[in-house]
Amino acid sequence: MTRTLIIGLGNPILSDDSVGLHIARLLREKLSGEDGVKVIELYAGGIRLIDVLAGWDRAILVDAMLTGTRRPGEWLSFQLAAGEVDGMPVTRNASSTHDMNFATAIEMGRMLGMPMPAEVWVWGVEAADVETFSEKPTEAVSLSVGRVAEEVAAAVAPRGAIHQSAGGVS
Amino acid sequence: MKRITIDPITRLEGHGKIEIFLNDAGDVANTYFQIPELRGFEQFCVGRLAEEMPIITNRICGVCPEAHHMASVKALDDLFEVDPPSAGKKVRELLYSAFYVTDHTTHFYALGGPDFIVGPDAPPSQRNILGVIKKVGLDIGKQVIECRSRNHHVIEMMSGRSIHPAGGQPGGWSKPVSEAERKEIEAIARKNIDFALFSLKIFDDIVLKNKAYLDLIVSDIYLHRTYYMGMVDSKNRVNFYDGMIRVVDPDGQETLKYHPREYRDHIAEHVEPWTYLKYPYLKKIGWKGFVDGKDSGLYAATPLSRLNVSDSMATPKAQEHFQKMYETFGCKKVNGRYQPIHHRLATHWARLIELLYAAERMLELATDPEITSPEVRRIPKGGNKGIGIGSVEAPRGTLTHHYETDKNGVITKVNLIVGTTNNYGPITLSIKRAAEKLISKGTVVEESILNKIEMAFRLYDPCFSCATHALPGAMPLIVNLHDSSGKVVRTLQRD
Repeated sequence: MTRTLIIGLGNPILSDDSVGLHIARLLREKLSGEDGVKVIELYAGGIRLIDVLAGWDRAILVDAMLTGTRRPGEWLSFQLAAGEVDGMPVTRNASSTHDMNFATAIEMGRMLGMPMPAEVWVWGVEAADVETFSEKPTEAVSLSVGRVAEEVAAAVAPRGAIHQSAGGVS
Repeated sequence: MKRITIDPITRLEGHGKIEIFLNDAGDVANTYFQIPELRGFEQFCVGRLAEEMPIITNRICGVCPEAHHMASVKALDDLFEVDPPSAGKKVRELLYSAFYVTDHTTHFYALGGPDFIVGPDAPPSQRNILGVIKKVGLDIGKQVIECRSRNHHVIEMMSGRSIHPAGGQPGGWSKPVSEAERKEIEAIARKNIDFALFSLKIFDDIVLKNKAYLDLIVSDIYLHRTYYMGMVDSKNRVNFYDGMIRVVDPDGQETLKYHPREYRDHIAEHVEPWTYLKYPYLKKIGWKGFVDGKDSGLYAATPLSRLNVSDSMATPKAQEHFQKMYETFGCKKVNGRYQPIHHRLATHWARLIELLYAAERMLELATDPEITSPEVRRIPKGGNKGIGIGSVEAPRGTLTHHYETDKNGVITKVNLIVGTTNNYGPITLSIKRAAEKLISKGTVVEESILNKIEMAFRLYDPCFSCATHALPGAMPLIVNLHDSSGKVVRTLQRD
């Protein structure tokens, strides 16, 4: 059985930055009782991810992103290619001012012989505001929370292969 | 001048920006440093109960939540006029020592170390922790991970969570340390001491014994004669958790010593029109612009600053290394204490000495007979005095939380001076100095300039996450070079 760890990443008091945490909270309800699936919230990325990821077959990161090319609330999912560190797209909290980005963390874990997930997926939700302190995401981003949670839950529950996706709430 | 522009990418707003302006002769006229701003922290806090602050403020960022948690509970001790029992203070300091071990370890191996261990001129793709591990061996990578993980375990055991601790209460700590936990912590502290000694040995072997690196450290690129700030105990020794704030002048003479509660009498903030950042300076000396020297009120608050303001280290092994560092720089003793080191790259060395001190202090506290006392909290009597101020030494400098409340303890005003904020002025100085050394008469910018400028601010371990209450993710950096008409002639970028 593929054991899957779902990580909602973000700062809970920084407007849209918390979107990954809100989605994780919904997913925890939706997926309770699913064998081999665990949902956690993390408020910091970087090197701390190594400890968290060790021992899982598959990891799904749900995070805010700022591409500037999408409308707030639009999301997309993509798989991170193994062994690719440079140029790997990272979302907002998958990196850290203090240590390393997500790709480096996985690479370091592998280098040290730790059991890093073979498959890593990212769901990124375009943020409108990540610079104002607030416990609530902006409206457009709030609207995406339920939809993204449904999509992730549907991708995980049948335990089949995950496919790339993109979406938005208009 | 040849114009080369690398187009900025989409996430411009998340970048630290350095603007370098040249004069007609093609020399550096000015450098400006800008970082993204976050809004509304005070409004977010106003109207909440003061007791929530240790949990709210430690959410500001994921890098040093423990420091915010401690400064915050100390501000609440002050607000509710309650002095924690001795064991409560020791439990707090024990957790804080474990936190320092993780934080300083991370900085040395993941951020500061790559410049030296892999080399200042190595390409950026190698100048990271993976490059460090490749150079020094897989075993060291494992030790770094293990060190972080065992100390996060201590933090989790003592405070309920490994990130964003929740154990602090006004008047002490929420739970005592059991004998079984104490034993485990003692064993971990011993491992930490070995790890710190081993890290100092790596620094000695790879950095100090390499002439090129040593020359860089003692060169004047990163030399500024400023004032220094740090917290000291009753014997003027480094303390991270509690004490008086001491400031020394560039000659090492004590200029100020005050209780954190009095910070407003001594620290003022200068505002520049081109940035929302506020530059703290010493009121007594005054603001003289971005210049160093005894007449300029700029001060630094870093690991090196803490050692510079202290007469000695409180633990024996750290004291040996403290002496070695000051002797290596040829510092003379005046009135029984070493004169300060002004070479900013020595901050990396000072950070490792602090790592050793934190590990030794952790062991002292873990073997203190009082540490398992159940008396870890004194309940406040009720009521509050309307204002509470608390400080600790965060890894990145003196951290002060200042709250004001109404009679029900509801927050009406919040002011935070975070570690990195203290160093805005010195960071600007260091960047300017690096630029001046690498640009002259219009001859500019070999590729290493970006690296040398990065080294200038990395040594401060700046964390803008909370300095602006911001979370820009990584520390992407843009350097814009302007000619004398203000036109951007070159943009360098690192993501």
